[in-house]
Amino acid sequence: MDIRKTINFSMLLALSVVLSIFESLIPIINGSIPGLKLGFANIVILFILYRYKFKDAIYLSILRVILVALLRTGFGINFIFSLVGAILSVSAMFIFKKLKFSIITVSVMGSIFHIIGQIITTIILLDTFNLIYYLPYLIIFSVITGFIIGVITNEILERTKEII
Amino acid sequence: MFINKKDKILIISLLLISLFSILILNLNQKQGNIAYVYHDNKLLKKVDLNINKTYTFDGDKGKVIVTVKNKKIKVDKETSEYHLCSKMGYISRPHETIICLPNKIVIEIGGNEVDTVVR
Repeated sequence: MDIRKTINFSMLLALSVVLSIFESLIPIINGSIPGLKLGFANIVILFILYRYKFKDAIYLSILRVILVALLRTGFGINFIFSLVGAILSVSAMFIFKKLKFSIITVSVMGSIFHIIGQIITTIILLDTFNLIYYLPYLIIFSVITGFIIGVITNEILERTKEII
Repeated sequence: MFINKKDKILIISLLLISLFSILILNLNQKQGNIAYVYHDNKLLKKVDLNINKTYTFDGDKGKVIVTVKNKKIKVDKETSEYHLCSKMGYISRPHETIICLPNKIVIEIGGNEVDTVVR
């Protein structure tokens, strides 16, 4: 890995960590559903998926979760479901990208699988199957946020064609 | 941002399935009668929502105070960094939940059980 790529990645990683922490300050329904987020960090992950490779995207995702845990949340349940959600999310995005869906759909699927991964992990860890009743609302929410994230990322990809 | 036909089909199907599920879930409008309070997956207490009372439970970080009033249950006070649980407000419909991650306390409203509650 050449030095330019390393530097670019470090910046992107830092960016995704900052976005993650920033959006955790925006409470969505006051924490009723653990881990429900707007998904700004996905802008970076999605960007890497389209500009670089799947391998890079998943490395960065995992590193992001670890860094955020080190900086903010600690290594409890939050860390576990964040990790699961992030890995599931990137994998789903990769699959839908391979299936030649548009970036909007890829982003939407990333959001959906991220929150589904987190919910299922929480259900398993806390043995609270009732959470599954929130799934339909979460899917609708994810479609909306995924759409917005997709639009933003698409713009960024277009405008940084020469730069990064 | 070329959205093709298959994108539209996929997203619209997802939205339709979700809306459909929400409709079905909301057919059950009755208020719940029992709330189950768990700590770390162990059932602490079956709370009868018909009795207005305040309960104190021991969470991982400290005490969690729960109040029942008018068939609704909420977390009054908790020992945690962000107090997300108490900000949640009350829940009353079957299958609604309050989750306090730091204290590992989960409060669930039961579905429509027919049996009476053991206090």
